Amino acid sequence: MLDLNKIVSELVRKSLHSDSILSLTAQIGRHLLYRNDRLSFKIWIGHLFAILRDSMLKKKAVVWTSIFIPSELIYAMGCVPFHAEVFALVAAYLNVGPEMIHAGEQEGYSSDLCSCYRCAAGLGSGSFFPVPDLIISSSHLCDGSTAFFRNMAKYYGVPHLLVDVPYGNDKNAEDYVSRQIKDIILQAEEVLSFKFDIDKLRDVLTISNETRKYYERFNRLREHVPAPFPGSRALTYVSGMMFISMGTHEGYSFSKALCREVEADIANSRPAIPDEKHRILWLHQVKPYYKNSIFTDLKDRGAVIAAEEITYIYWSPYDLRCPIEALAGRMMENINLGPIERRLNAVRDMVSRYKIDGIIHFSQWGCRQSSGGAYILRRSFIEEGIPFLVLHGDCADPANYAEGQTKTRIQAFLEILEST
Amino acid sequence: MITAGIDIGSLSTEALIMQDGRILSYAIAKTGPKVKTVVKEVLDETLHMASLSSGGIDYVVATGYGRVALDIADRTVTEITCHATGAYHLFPETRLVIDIGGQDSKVIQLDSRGKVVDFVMNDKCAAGTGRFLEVMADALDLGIAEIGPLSLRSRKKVPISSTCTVFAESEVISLIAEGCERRDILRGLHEAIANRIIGMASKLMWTGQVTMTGGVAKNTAIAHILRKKIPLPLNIPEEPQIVGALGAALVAQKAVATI
Repeated sequence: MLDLNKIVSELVRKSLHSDSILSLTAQIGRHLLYRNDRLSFKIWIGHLFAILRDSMLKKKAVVWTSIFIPSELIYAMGCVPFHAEVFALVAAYLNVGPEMIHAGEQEGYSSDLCSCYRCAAGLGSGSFFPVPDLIISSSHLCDGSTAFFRNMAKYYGVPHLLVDVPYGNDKNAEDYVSRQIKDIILQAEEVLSFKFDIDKLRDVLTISNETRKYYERFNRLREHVPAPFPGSRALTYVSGMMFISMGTHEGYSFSKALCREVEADIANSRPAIPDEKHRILWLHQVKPYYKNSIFTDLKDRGAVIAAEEITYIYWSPYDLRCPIEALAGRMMENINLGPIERRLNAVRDMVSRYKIDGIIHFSQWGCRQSSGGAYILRRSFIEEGIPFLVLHGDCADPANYAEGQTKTRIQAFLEILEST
Repeated sequence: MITAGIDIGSLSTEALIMQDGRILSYAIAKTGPKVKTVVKEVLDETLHMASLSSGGIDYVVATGYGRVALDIADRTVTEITCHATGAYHLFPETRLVIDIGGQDSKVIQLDSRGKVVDFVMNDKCAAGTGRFLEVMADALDLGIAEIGPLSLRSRKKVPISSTCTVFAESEVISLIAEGCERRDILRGLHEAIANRIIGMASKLMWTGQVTMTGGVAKNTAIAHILRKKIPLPLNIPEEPQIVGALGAALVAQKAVATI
């Protein structure tokens, strides 16, 4: 059992003389711990801090990684994964986004780049992040990711290993990705001086498969009307845990605790919002993490985010007989990779499963992946009678958030739902 | 039943009083920095014209960007719903509403019952809005009412490539310095706005009739270009600027009827 208070106190103490984001995170974490007594929430905070602690104090080799590299690979290497994107959004949540984004732009990053990477660039080049021993990222989905990680590797003087994930999804493509993962393991062994244990990978994948089962159960529970779990929270910490903890005991405990809490909420008639009128599906990967009125405005008019794309379980259970190929398969199965029909079908599945009344597509500034498909999805669902709002915004940079305009769009969208 | 609709936009504020579906009076004023004062003045004027006192209004609906600041409203409704409701009331065959207001422009899709099914709005900047035209009129030393008719007299289009209001203003000043005719520059500006609106409208279904609302609908050049480029009948209300307030008053009528 994690002694969270002890961890937080220790982190705060150790970061007192450090001008790092760790100090800020620890303080906010301590504040939040006393506000939320849910076990899942505490496990999330604990895991976040454990990563920060282990990486800042260099308890293990630190591998910076992008969110689309399965964390199981890094845990199986015995390293601590540091997801720069996740911690950039933590910084946005802590209100230091604008300052870090400005610092990132001063480093030469274009203001058209996704703010998540601009913020991470400010944090990384300002030495607010733990020093990496190695960087592993993938080429798929995020345009900004490859250049950002390459720049960071150059800045820290460490190797950058890239998994090039092709657009097509066939046997050849899967073999191509598997070969690269094997090659990355060989290179990591050399850089970090360790011997990769394939059985350890199997153990990690076994935990991940069990965790996946709980997430599937969590998603089934969320089909309940009224919605038992608010999407605003899922977008904050459930999605975060799906990126940073798959393959760990903490990730498993988190998913199990989450299911138990939601089951109890359903049994005790504790819905996510008091008077549910509209069930919303939130599309794309992120939401604004700084102070904004979107979720309050939705809640005030009886609209609940019943489900979101980012917590959709798109991947199959790992086949333990061929673990490397299974990791490659997981990357290739992402619904945002390949033709738009793949994503469209997955969204249709979500609309049906969660009895969705309307869809909000949060189009992240600078993200071609999200903006590219939005209007195709929009047209399809409007033709099917599902109101669809393309909401342009920014996850980390409040400069791209206009409250008045956003309120009008949200309210008009809800007026459409109310008149249905 | 007597209701009022108040549309508080970034450039102008409109109030309209309605009794049993019939317009009794309306007034228009510049919004300016003192929103509450302007609302009071414009509402008092409308009440005076209708020979009513403020206690005589059963229900008030506020719309527009200033709607949230209005404490006398019984309800706030977005300008999207209000413009759609007003346009459908005036022209029941309306399936697309083009509203070009002071700081934003929007295209709204309606179904055959007048219900909003979809909408598209401009994002983040004032390109293609009333404010854009005001800045350009100033740069050309013309009144806002003069630019439409003058543009229609153009024989040669001078394309304007910038969509940013500030850059477009610089471009206009450069074109004047090059000796271009003001009417030709205006034609280029109006074409740019119309193309921007058509780009937004392209995301929606083109069917039924189109109704233009908002202050820019008074600009004859924009209407002329849109008529040429959109192959659907285009309606322009007698007073397009009050359509949002009209819609708000109609929403209020419906609200009172269901109480």
